Amino acid sequence: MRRADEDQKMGVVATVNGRERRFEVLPRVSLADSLREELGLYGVRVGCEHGVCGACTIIVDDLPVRSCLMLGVQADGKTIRTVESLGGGKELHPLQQAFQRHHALQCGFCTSGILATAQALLEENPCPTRDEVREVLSGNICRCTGYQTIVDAIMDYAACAQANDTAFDAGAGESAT
Amino acid sequence: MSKSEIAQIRPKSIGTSIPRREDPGLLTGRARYIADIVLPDMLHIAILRSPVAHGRIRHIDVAAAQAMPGVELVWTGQDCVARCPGITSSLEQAGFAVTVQPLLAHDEICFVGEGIAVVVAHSRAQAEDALERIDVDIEELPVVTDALTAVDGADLANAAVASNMIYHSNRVTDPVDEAFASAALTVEGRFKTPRVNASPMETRGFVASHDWTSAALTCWSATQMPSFIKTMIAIFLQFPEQNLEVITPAVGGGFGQKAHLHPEELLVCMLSIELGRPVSWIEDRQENLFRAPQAKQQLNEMALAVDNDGRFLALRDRVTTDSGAYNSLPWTPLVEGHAGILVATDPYRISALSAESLSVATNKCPIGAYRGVGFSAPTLAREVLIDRAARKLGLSPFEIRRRNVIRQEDFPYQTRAGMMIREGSFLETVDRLEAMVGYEDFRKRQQEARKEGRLLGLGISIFSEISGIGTRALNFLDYPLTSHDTATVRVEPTGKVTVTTGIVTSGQGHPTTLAQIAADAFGIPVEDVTILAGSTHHAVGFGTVASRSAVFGAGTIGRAAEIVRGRMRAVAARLLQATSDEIEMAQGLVHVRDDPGRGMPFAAVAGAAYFAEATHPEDFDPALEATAAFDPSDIVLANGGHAVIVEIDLETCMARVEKMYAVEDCGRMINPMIVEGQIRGGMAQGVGMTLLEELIHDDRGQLTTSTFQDYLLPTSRDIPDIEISHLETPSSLVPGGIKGMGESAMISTPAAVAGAVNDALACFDVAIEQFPASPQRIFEALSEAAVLDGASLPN
Amino acid sequence: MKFPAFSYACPTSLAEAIELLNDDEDSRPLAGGQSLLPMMALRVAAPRMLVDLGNIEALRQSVVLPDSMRIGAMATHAMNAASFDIWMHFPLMAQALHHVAHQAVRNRGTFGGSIAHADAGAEMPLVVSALDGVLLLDGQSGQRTLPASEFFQGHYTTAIEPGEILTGVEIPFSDMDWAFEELSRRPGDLAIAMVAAGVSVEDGVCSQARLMLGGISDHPIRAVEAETYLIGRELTPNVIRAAAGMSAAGIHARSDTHASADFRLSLATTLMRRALTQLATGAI
Repeated sequence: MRRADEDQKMGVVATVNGRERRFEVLPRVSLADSLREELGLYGVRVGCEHGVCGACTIIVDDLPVRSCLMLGVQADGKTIRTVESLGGGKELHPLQQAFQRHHALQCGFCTSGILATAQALLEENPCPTRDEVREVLSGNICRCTGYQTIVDAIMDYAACAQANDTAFDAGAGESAT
Repeated sequence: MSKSEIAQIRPKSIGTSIPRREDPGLLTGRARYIADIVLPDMLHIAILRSPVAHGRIRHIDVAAAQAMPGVELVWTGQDCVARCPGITSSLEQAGFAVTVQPLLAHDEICFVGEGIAVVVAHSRAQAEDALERIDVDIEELPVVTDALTAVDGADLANAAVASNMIYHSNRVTDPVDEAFASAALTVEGRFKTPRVNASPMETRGFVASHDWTSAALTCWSATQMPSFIKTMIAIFLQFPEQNLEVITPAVGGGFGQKAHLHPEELLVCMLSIELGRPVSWIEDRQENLFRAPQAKQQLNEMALAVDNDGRFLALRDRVTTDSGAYNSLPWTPLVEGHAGILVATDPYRISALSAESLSVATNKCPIGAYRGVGFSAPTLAREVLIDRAARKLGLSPFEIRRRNVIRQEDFPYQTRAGMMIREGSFLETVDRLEAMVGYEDFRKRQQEARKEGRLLGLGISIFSEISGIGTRALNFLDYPLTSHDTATVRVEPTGKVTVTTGIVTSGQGHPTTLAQIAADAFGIPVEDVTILAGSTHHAVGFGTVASRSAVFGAGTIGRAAEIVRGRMRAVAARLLQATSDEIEMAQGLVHVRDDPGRGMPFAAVAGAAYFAEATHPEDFDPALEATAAFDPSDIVLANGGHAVIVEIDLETCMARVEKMYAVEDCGRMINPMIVEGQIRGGMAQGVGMTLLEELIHDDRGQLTTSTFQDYLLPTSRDIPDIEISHLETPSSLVPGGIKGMGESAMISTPAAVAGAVNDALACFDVAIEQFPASPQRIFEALSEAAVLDGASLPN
Repeated sequence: MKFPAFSYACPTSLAEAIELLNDDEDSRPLAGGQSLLPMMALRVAAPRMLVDLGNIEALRQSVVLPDSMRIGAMATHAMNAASFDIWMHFPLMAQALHHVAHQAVRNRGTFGGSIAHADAGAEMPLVVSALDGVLLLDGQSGQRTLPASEFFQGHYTTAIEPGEILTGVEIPFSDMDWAFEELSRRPGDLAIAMVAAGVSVEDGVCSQARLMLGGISDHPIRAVEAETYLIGRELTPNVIRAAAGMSAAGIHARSDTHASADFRLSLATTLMRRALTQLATGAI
């Protein structure tokens, strides 16, 4: 059984952004803080630390989750994707390009979480309706944009992907960053 | 040369919606915010915050905390006050009550959330653990929570503020009694706007690193005002300013909340100096809801006198602002309490204004700036009253406004408070908005919906916005401050342009829009321009506040570029055998006017200035670099309007926004896409303030909405798509005709939402004057009117 | 808002988990963590030990039995929302799941966690109560079962004993038609008020009824008088109105930041009327 005392770090092995990563954390450390502090994935933004704002949303085993409401030690054996995995490292992923084209971000603090939410949605439902996008997005607070251009960007990306017959991860969803 | 000189900028990139150059960093998670600043050996702090709203510290024991694992240092207010008495916030106005806010309370505590002690530890978690071991004994004092009864009340919220009155202003008190007595119609109300939190998605934060070997203090601040912060650190901590740098990393939204000097910022500096190690403060969300400057809480007791034709005769307003326990710096509570009464009549011709404003101390978190600060609440009151007058007179809400807005023939128009309005498109705004809404169709739809038991309501608001606030605007608003920016423009030897500016961004897109300005100032591609910002080693800026960056960016860059252009023209004149006056720059060329054939590449002229002395005129200063200041010669004014349609479910009392419209005239737009982004975001915040968001304090001053489960920000399902239309009336005071914008939606959308709620309920003769219009408040209003029992809808 | 320190264990069997919980009386089971972890971040809860139930495969399993379905405590809201069996057998639960928080929370938050947490504004306690679920508890002194009516005792208060784990809920199949209605400030927020209504109609009159109110009081409340009234009556608008009015009568409603007791009772009546109207008109 995996078990650790409060002052004892616990080993974690996880597939993070396509690569096996090992790190050690105290039980008390959230997954968000673990990814930031242990793996340097600062693209994981911490907005409220009580699971409401959605800024820390990442993809764990293909599902979007709040990384502030998971423990680092719970990442063991999981497959995790953060915003750092989107795009190939040299250019923006088409979804990110759509966000730029539509001005779907201003301060950018909520953007990592919103991209994760959008990515998970589009993997499951490649051509959502506007209402479906709005529904899924409602768990991510954006204080700058008023949401409309985020919905526009996701719809535009979905339409382009349909037209080009490209699956979501045809870009570089699993690149080893 | 005057600081208000208007440089020539020929719009080319200006006016186009080019994508933002800062986006790739933000979209890939690579941009670094304050929480991502990690330095070797860095320590973290947590602050013990008062659990009581008013009290006196009898005793504080930090020994147990000091002994906790990972703890380096624990300070109380006594440790701080010896080094810095606190933040003094005053204003040179007679009768203004000065407050000194200690960095940590050492005696009197004045609100829940005020800092009492600080723990410095190896991790934030350890620091938080140690806070639980601090033993404080507080003598509780009477708590003042209601601004209205606080005036002249027996109990003081803060011993330094006599009668709890921070400032009573009444600059414009025209005699209006006669107008009201003779008016065909008087509409009046008591409008309460909620105490809200701007809630940027990134909380506040500050990192300081003191290096004793170089005597340098390097700071990182999630701020909108780095130059100001730097000078305040120098003054309050008596730190040599030349050794200070404040760096602004990516900032995750500010909206005014980050346009202050916060006590925590000075505290972190002091701790880093004390410990000789980097120290980081990353505010958490609860701290933010308790302690970050709060906003907007006003009572407007307003009355409007109207004649039979719907013409406005006089406006009376008495504003009571719940200012909290201390004055925030630099704005003081007057930024919320006082500014509004000076523009309460605009954008209408109202020949008599009598207004007074009371800024009242209470045992709550200090009030500060939040988008459209000071203007949202009076605008809400005025516009709802105008709708009410229209209904009583049987006029459409558009028609009554058409009859009263300042028109082309009135310019220049001087308002009762003394502001000169030179240009604008007020009438066009009303017409445009009416067409967008499709007013006649809406009324039909409203009738139809009533038959189905659905209540639709339309609200409209027309605004003017003081944009680009400079010295003249500040002085008009009774701030005896000076506010100019500088920019440095350098043309590099290869013809590329580097601009250093004091303007920092928290999402407004300045790296892109300022590059558009600089590109057009030299007639070169925007890709050839780099904007350097974010360090106080760069140029000086007053801050990204009050919709001022477009105005000051264009003004400063324009003026600095003009100086450099003059030198380049002199070189080109020699090379092209023409006079300087004949030389123009466009499309990457420097050429003789009207003869692009007689020209050479921009880069060639730059190269010549750097490397070919033979091309220099006599007594030539070859510095292709210049720094210039800008401050507009008078108030710059943008204008526009908003319309909102809400639907209220009569039974659940839930109001939802169905549709929103905006008309914006911010002069020439630099980047229309960014302008629209500002409008949409501001409108969403306006909906938040009027339907969802409210910081609720109980009568002991305890905040009962202290998480995001109770403080309700609008989500993607609360904000509909927004239709936007533009008018462009160029400014005569700013290069390129630019006016600046950003706050307008938050000034005027709350009024439109409030108007829509009232329009929906008007069929029952029910009015809502306290916001947000929560289901509970709508329920209470309908219950009082005995509407819910009958539940039949009038036609 | 960092979690207070705690020790952590992630057992793979129920027996281990029960042992761990009994070893330390200040231990708490960690299900999806979507309620407990926020409380810990706010430091209103600070257990010394968390026993993570996430690796106990048996708790995730749901089984269809001849007359009922046993839903595993660790089944997530997302799993349940995607379950064909739940959609088929418990349309009420499928409807209610639409109102549970947001996608990312549903992906971690669990059925059992929500029930054991027993927030007055949460949907699953109401659903389980309305459907006469039987709660399956396991502890050192063995297994026991409790009807929902005895399980939910108040806001955040249930009949779970220290050291016990909720392993699942067995819900009997219902032959009634069901409707769910809720009001919250924003979609996904905890309910201010919600109702679950079930009826059977035979020969044009109501032969069975189950009416439950959630969010109104500090635990789900059954409107027995209104149920009785409906039996033998046709679901006409007037009958529905009368039943809805009765359903909220006499309840001691709670009052909080978002809604007063009066308003909650008014909402209860409205939502019940809407739910019954849905059932009467088949507009589900």
